[in-house]
Amino acid sequence: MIQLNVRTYVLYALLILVTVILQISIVPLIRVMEVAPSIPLIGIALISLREGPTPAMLYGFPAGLLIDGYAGEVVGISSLALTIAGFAMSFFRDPEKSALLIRSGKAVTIVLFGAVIYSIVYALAYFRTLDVDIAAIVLRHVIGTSVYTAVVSTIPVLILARTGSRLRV
Amino acid sequence: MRTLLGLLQLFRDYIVLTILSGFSILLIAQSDSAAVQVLRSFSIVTLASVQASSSWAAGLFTTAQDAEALRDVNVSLMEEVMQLRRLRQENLELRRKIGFRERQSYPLVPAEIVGKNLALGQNMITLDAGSDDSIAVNMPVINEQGLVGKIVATSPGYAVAQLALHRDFRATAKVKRSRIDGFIAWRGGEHLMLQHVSRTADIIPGDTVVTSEYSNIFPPEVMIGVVRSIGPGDGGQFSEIEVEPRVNFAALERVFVVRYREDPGRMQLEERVYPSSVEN
Repeated sequence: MIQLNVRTYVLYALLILVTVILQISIVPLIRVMEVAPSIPLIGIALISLREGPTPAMLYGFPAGLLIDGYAGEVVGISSLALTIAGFAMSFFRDPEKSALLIRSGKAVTIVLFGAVIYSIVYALAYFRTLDVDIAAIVLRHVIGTSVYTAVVSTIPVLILARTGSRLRV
Repeated sequence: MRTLLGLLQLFRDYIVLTILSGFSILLIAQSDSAAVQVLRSFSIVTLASVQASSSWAAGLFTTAQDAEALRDVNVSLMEEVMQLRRLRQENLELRRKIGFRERQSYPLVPAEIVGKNLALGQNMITLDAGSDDSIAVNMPVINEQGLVGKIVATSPGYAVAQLALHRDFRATAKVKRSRIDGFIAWRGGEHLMLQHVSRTADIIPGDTVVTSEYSNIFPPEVMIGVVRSIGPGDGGQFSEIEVEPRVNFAALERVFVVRYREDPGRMQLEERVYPSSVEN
């Protein structure tokens, strides 16, 4: 069974809601050459590394639905990408060392990996009917989004590293 | 029974992955269904108010520059309006003499853009006006430069518009000079494509492309862009015509929704005669 208490459920739900709000309000202001980071993915990475794949997917799916619904896009693309990325990132989970892992540079690498999975799934689902250059999609959207997301993820990782065990997440 | 539960427990992660992925794919396939529209409305209502309250922060840095730019635009538009008024009067007189029906003008609903999704080809914008302002799905969205897109979803206070730079966007269009008809579509990149135009058609780079009077969604003569290049296409009978949109989509801040609805009498007749016709 998933060993989560109600408080943790609510905290994770709030965390994901905040990341979705940041995604729609702040991310459009920090786009670089149409490349934007995926903030909810960072929250999903945290849940994936701490709690495992099932909670990560269960939080990633509705977050994706909210984003797609709000963007007026094809509903289901972001939820599919976040679900698969949440599952994939949990391969790096170590239940014994999760508290240390999310405070280390490895967490950024795992976010980078998750972002690559997310971007590939997204690109495959979204650009399937577009007559666009595959190399451009890979360069701009897959690599660009992944690197940008990983760079942004250094902020929460550094905050967690500096606060150490004082901040319980 | 215990074995089954044990198996479920063992493969729980994979089962959840399969169910959620399957559900996502189902949603992608049913993108236009009523249930998905309800979900969209819920997302818009929930998140648009949050975004509207945060957009003022971005506005702090651009208001002064905007005012300056708007003053310049205002001066040139006033000159243009004076000229157009004179031409309109002439046009009305001529149409009356020939016996043509008078063209309608359509009310505009001004709206501020409170959300933009231009990354990853998500070319959608969220407007701070919705069904409470009589905005409905499929109404055209324009600005002073030309055609911006069309409304695809509404809630009481907000609406989401699909930009012309969207893979699902289609509009019947025509070349203003030679009156050649075609379809405007987007296939990625910064330019639009004018499709279904014969290779022998009289079109040259620099020609202006506007919406056609054959459209069920867009009013006629709305500026779309300028022909940039004409290619041979894929060897078939049609040309590959690249159109540079007049609207600067990256700098969009305010738009107008045209309360344009197709004449129901025309729609009924067209549906009866050729039901499978394109609705753009």
